Amino acid sequence: MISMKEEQLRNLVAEVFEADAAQINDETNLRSLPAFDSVNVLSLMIALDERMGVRLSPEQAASLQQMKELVQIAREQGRLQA
Amino acid sequence: MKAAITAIHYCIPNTRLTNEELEQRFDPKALKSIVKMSGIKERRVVRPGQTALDLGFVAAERMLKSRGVQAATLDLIVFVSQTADYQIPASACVLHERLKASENCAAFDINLGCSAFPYALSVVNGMIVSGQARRALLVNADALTQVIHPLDRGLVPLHGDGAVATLVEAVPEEHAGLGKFLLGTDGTGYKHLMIPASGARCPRSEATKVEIRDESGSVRTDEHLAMNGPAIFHFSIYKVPDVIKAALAKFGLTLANIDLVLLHQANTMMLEQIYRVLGVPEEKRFFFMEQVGNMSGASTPMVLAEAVRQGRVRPGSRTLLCSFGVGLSWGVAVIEWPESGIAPVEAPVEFEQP
Repeated sequence: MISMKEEQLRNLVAEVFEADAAQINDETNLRSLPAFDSVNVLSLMIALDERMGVRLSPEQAASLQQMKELVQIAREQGRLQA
Repeated sequence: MKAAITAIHYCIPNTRLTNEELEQRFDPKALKSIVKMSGIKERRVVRPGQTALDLGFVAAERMLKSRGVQAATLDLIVFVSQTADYQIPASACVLHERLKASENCAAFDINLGCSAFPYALSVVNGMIVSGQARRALLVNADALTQVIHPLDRGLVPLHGDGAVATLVEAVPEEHAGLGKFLLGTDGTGYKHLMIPASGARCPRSEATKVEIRDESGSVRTDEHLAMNGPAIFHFSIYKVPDVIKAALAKFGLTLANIDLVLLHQANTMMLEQIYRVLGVPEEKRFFFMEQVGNMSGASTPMVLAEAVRQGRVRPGSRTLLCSFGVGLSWGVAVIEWPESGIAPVEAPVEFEQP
């Protein structure tokens, strides 16, 4: 069972990378999503900050691979408590 | 003694580079992402043989003529660019010759990018206030398309070329004008936006001409501009709001005292985010990049010049400018306009008149 916040994070990722949120889980390779590219990663930086208060560092943004990395970052920043 | 902007005018090349043309050059899906983020639909680009200085000369000549100012009465010319005609001499000297300025007119260049306008205004303001100049021509001009690889998918869709001429004159102390500046630098980020082989540190050679293709298919060489997108973006959306807040605090002002907030025209989504974080209301926002692109150091004076042209700079109002980027460098200027306002320059903005 994923928390509401985690669901919000998946919906946000799905929206930015034009994917089906139901198909996204921790093991999802973000780079395989339809609209993943370096520019949309920048859009993700803004969306994460604006809607969830999560800040991606330039290094994290550049090396982003799997959904679980984002979950971990959000968790470390205290943004994933239910 | 105080300094005030008494005229501002710009010049853009006639050649347009549209998104439809870029679709022939880049993967349409990838292009869609960057267009969506930037909000840029077309850019103006110099033709071969045309330079930033050419655009700056036309902007300056038309502005001076429109105001009835003889170039011989200028006592300072400052040319600000990263795409000068020559490494030696300074472009300001070439401009001095073209304008037929007087021997009593000082002329020098400032090499700075996106943040250049507040810096240059601050220098010109200082020279006027200290009595070294009374009538200064400031030209911010860049033709970045000459240093961007034509197949660089990240940079080509964002940038255009242009130049802005600003007349800054001495006015009585009680007159509205310049004087409020906050400038800063984070040199640890100098590598985030640079042309690696562009000077003495890394001389050009056969090796620097080799094309580098990244995983997205974007191409450049070490002789072209290279940008670390995430680093520049992160700096812009997190540092810039803090810088503007610090500037307002330094000047004892709040956003309620500012009538127009103008930002370096980097890309629309980034600027919307900065405006949102600061809480700048819609009526104090102004954009000018959709039809011209990001012109580096010429971008902030250009958005100011266009705001003047469109009547968005009201008499007796305050305008806050914030420019930021390559360096990493930033600058804020608050301009106070006189009750008589600033009249737009009645002249064309395209390089070649129809």
